[in-house]
Order: sequence, then structure tokens, then C-alpha cells
Amino acid sequence: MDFSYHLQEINLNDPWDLAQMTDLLARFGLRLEPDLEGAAGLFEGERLVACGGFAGNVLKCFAVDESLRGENALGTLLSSLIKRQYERGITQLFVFTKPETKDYFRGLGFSVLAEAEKAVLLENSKRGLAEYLTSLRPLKKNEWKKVGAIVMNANPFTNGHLALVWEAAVRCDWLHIFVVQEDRSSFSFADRFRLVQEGIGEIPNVSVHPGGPYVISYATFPTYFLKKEEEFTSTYAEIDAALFGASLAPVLGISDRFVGEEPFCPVTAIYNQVLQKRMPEFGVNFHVCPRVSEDGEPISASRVRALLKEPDGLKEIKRLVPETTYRYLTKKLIESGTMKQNETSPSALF
Amino acid sequence: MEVKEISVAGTLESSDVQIILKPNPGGGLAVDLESDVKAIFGDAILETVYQVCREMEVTEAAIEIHDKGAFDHVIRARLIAAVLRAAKRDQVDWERM
Amino acid sequence: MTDRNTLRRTGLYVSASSPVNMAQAPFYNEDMLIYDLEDSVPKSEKDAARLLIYHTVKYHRPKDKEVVIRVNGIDTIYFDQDMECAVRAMPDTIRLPKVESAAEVEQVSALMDRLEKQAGIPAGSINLICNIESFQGILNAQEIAAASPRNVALALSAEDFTASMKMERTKAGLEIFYARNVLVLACRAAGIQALDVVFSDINDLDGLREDSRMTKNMGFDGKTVIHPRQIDIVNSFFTPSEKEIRHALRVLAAIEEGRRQGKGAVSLDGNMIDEPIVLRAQNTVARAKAAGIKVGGER
Repeated sequence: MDFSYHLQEINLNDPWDLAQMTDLLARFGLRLEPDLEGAAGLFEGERLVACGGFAGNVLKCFAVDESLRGENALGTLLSSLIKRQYERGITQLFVFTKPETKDYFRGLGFSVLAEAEKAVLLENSKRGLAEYLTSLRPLKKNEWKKVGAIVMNANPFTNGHLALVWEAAVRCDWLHIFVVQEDRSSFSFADRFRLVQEGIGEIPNVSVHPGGPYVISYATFPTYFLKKEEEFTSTYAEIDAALFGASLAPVLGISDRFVGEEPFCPVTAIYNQVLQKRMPEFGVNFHVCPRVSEDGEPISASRVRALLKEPDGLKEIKRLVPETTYRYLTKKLIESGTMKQNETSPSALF
Repeated sequence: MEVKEISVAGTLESSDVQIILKPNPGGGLAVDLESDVKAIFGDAILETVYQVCREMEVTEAAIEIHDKGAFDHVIRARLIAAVLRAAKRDQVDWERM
Repeated sequence: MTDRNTLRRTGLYVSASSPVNMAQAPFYNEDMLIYDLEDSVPKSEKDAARLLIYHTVKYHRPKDKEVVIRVNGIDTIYFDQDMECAVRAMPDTIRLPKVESAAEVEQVSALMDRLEKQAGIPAGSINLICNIESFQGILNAQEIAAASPRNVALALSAEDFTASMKMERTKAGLEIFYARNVLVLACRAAGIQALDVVFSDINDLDGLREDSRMTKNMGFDGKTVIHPRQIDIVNSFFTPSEKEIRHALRVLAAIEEGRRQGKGAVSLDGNMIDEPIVLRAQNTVARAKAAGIKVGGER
């Protein structure tokens, strides 16, 4: 590392620091993501010449000025960010980036988990994914021929979700439900997970699992390196499909994946389209199940969340969700007065 | 010395080594070495690691090493730093060094 | 072992949190390599930096330079551990930041006596360089310079000094003229070396030359640099001219001749050659050789 540069934390609350990082990223066609929790930079005097940041367990928003090429600026930045993450107890770290830059990260101890045309996902361990998959192995039984999977956000769990679960369960020997594990949705992961478990009740051939770090949430998927908005969802779907198809599916012996039809939400529609194309490539049958309707309107979690904000919404909601979800929502409304407004998850079945 | 918590020392800059120590109850010393020069210097690096662990009486730890071409004395210094951080020791016994 | 006559034309700081810089620094032409525990090391890395310095200075030190360790200030929580580490590593010299009084120097010197004894190192074997960084330091420069036989130099640090004085730092340097003067005076009085401020614009090499010329003219023995590309330029200003070299050789030749003839006192061009003149001549020849100049009539 050259004597001219020094490493310093970037203060995300300082407009000057923030502007410098935004500008540096913009020079490379990259964006500063608004959810950054921390960032670090290399400075030549007062000028920012390299930057990187993190949100949750994801490292992102990396840019290195041309003048530093070959100086392993990325190594210096990563070391600092990794150290800060460890200090806050986050030791399993992920990087999403353009495929062109994956070798830099691989040279710094990161391993590729999944790759798509416009993005690659890496983690800071050679064995993280393998160990996780090993822990799932007991969930595979040889006598099961047809094993299904549903990945859902369940924000919250509705009758629509329940219907999908039934559709899948009757067609399979066993059904695995993965609940996306992040806390960006209106309802916490712990609550969403419990509602799924309670909602499916006594269906005999279903098990519910936390998604873990390898079922990627759209809410936390970084898009800072993608040029066009149209690419965001499809890229996310490609990565998700690659990870699911290459790792989760074979280890659990998953032969079928089920999603709900999406007539309205363009994001979910694109996601489904990508999976439709990719799942068969991994030997997984892909099924799109029609949505269940209530009063002619398809049931969706977003509709339920919208109704929660209306004065008499709860009455309407009663017809859209299982009893267990209804009781939970009633309690929540009473406790807080109003629900949290910040949802980033675009649709119910994510 | 007991590795009580996860600790990190060193960086991924060239000529340095980043060492991550984790508790490893019941697992003895588990060393995972990543280095561009593993083929030539792998054994020497491991020898240094084991020696330092002996000197510091570390018997149980998961040691993850990302070597970027560090000299032996740098590996030593970084490992000692990581052990002291993991054992939450502020004071160094310079006489024993 | 280095002393008050050691060549100190250039001193380069190297952060003890950067093994790559520490590995590269010995390959440049600086006379003094300062492994730094102070400003260039973040708080959370002080512990690791100490260990890195200790191991580097003990097992991997450059052979052709003065090896110096800059510790944290006497008022900081790091000082005690820094000093124990620094003494046991056995560098040539320890560099103290922000020195403001003779008492501080005496305290540190006594501490070093104790630590050297504990470590089984010969007493007094490690030197001291005091960084003067504030108006108080300048006002007390004379007594600081004279405070300990370990002192080999005082070094002026302009950034912190101008801040303490509420001055604006400029390239021309008029604002620090007096401070520079005082520092050299104090060092001459105490018989130690004077080291000048850094020139921070590493891209302005002409500016560096002007500043180095000033440094040399004011009587400094050397300058601190912050980037390797400044080293050769600064060194050149402390490289003796042909005329100076020739004169020095004549002095040394006269002394040699006098010794052969068993003469007690020697004179050259009608002037007595006494000890300081001999030292100066030897210094000149040393500096010339260090600059790579072929000095005829090698002894």
C-alpha cells in the first residue's frame, strides 16, 4: 500500500463524506445504497479514492479509483469492514458484485456461492454453505420420491399462502417451507415464522424452516452495481435460482417448487418467469398455482397490510387470513395503535 | 490461554496476514490456511502457528489464516495479537515474549 | 549503535499497522526509519501494532539505517506498554511526541534506565529524539535539548505547532521561522542534531526543494519526510559540495600526517585543527559517501 493513502471510516451522517462516496460510486456507474450501516474509505489527503460499506451481513458499494489499481485497495478496505463486522458479532459475510470483479474477492478469502449473468454472490468462507447443507441432510428421507419446496416471506401468512401450501402438500410426499429470514418486512421474522407454523396447523407432511442466509431476501439484495431497474428483479431471481437449484435442491432432494401466480405485482411476475426458465435446468419441476380469491379479489399479503391501515380493515381481514393470523394482527393493532409503514417486500409470496 | 471469543488481527493487505480465531471447545487446534504460497511455505507457516500456540498455551481454537505473503515475524505478531484479543488480555508479558 | 553524529538527513515514518509499508521502507534511501505507534495507528490497532513493531525490530530490522520507534505521548494510556515494548525491541532510538518540558525527558530517561536494566540491555544504549510540537515545547526547547545524555536530536513538527499557535501553515513557512531558529539554537547549545518539519505536498517537488534549501541554510541536520519520493531530493541538500569534500579530505590528511610524524597539534592553512573540525570533516566525508560520491584517498 502506497504511503500516500490513509484508511478512514466514512461518516454516513456527514453530508460531505456521504457526497464524496456517492460521487466516487457514480463515476463507476454505481449507486450508494440508502440502507448502509457503515462504510470505510481510502483517502489521499482529503480526497476519497476508494470506498466500501455494509448493511446487515452484506458487504457492498465498493469502488476503487484508477490511480489505486494494483495496490490492493480492496484488501485494505475489506480488512477494515470485516473487522468492524466481527466486532458487532456478524461473522458470516456476503458480497454481491459484478461477475467481472469476483476474482478480486476470491483472492481475498471469499468463495463464490452462485453466479448469474449480471451478478455473483460470494461469502467469506469456503465451508459456510457446505456446513449449512450438511445440517439440512437429516431432512432428506430416501423413501420420499416427490419432495416439494415453497419459499415465502409470509408478511403476514394469509389464506392465500395456506391454499398454496395445501396444493403443494397433496401433490408431494413431503413439503419444505422456507421462510425468508430478514427483519425488513412489516412483521419480524420471528412472528412471520410462527404464523406460518401455526397457520399450517396439522398438515402431516409439511415442515417449516428458517431460510437462513442462503435463501436470499429481495429486501436486502443489493442492486448498486446494476445499471437498469429492470435488471434488479431478474438478477436477484437468477442468483436465488442458482443458489436454490445448485445447492438446496440436490441436498434436500427437492423435485418440485411451488409459487403462487402473480397477476398484479410486476416484480413477483418477473421472479416467477426467471424461475420458470431455470428450475428445470436443475431438474426441479416448477409449478405456478392460481391465486385463491375472496370476493373476486386475489388474496395477497399486501392487501392485508393495506387493510390494516384502514379504520375498519380488521373486519375485512378476518376473511382473508387464518384464525391464528387474525388473532395476531388484532393483538398487534391494539398494542401499537397503527402498524409500521415501512415495507420493502413487494408482494405477499416473497 | 483460553480463546473466549472470536477475534481478528491483521489485514488482507499484501505482506500481511489476517487471522481469525474462534473458540473450539473439545476440538483441539483446527487450522485452516489460505495462502498463495501454500505449496512452498504452507508447512513453515503451520509450524510457526503451532509453535506460537504452544508458547502461549493455546490448546483449543479454530484458526482461520488468510495469508497475503507475510513474513514469519509478521505471522507471529498477528497470531499473538489475535490470541491476546480472544483471551481478552490487555497486558502483554514482554519478558516472556 | 547510533549517536549524536549519525547521519540523519532524512527520516521516514512508517505506520506499524501496515506490514507492506514496513516491508518496503528499508529499500529506500532514508537515513532514519521511524516505526510509528502514534498518529498513524488507530486506537483499536495499538495492541497489534506494538507486537508487529517488536517482532520487526527484533527479527527483521534494516541494517543500514537508524531504527527508531515513535511511541505515544507520555500522557496517553498507551505510553507504558509502548515504552516497555520499545525498549525490549532494542531499536537505536525512541522518538517522543509532543515533548514540552525537561522534566518529561528526565522522567522518560529514568524509565528507560529501569526498563533497560529489567531487560538486561546495557544502560543508556537507546537514544532519544524529542518531537517539539507546541509553543510550550519551543519555549522550553533549550532545557529539553539539554535534559538527557540520551538526546541525539530535537525534531520540529509544524502541523501541531501551528495549530497550537493558531497559525496558518504555509509553504513559504514564514510563520514557523522563529520556531525553526529556536530549535536549531537549542540543539547547537546542547550539541545535538536539529531535524526540520515535513513538507506535506508530496506532488510539489519544486516546493520541496525550496523548503529543503531553507532547512539546510538554517542549520538543520536533516528533515522528516512523509513519502519515499521525497527522500532523494532532501538527501541531496545535505550532500556536501565538491569544495566541502576536498577541504574535508585535506583536514583528514593533515591529521593523518600529523599522527605519522608524532605531532600533538596540527594546523592547516594557518589554522589549528581541533576536535570539532575533525568531526565535521569526518561527517562531511561520511555524508559524501552516503550520497554515493566517490571520495578519493579512501582511508
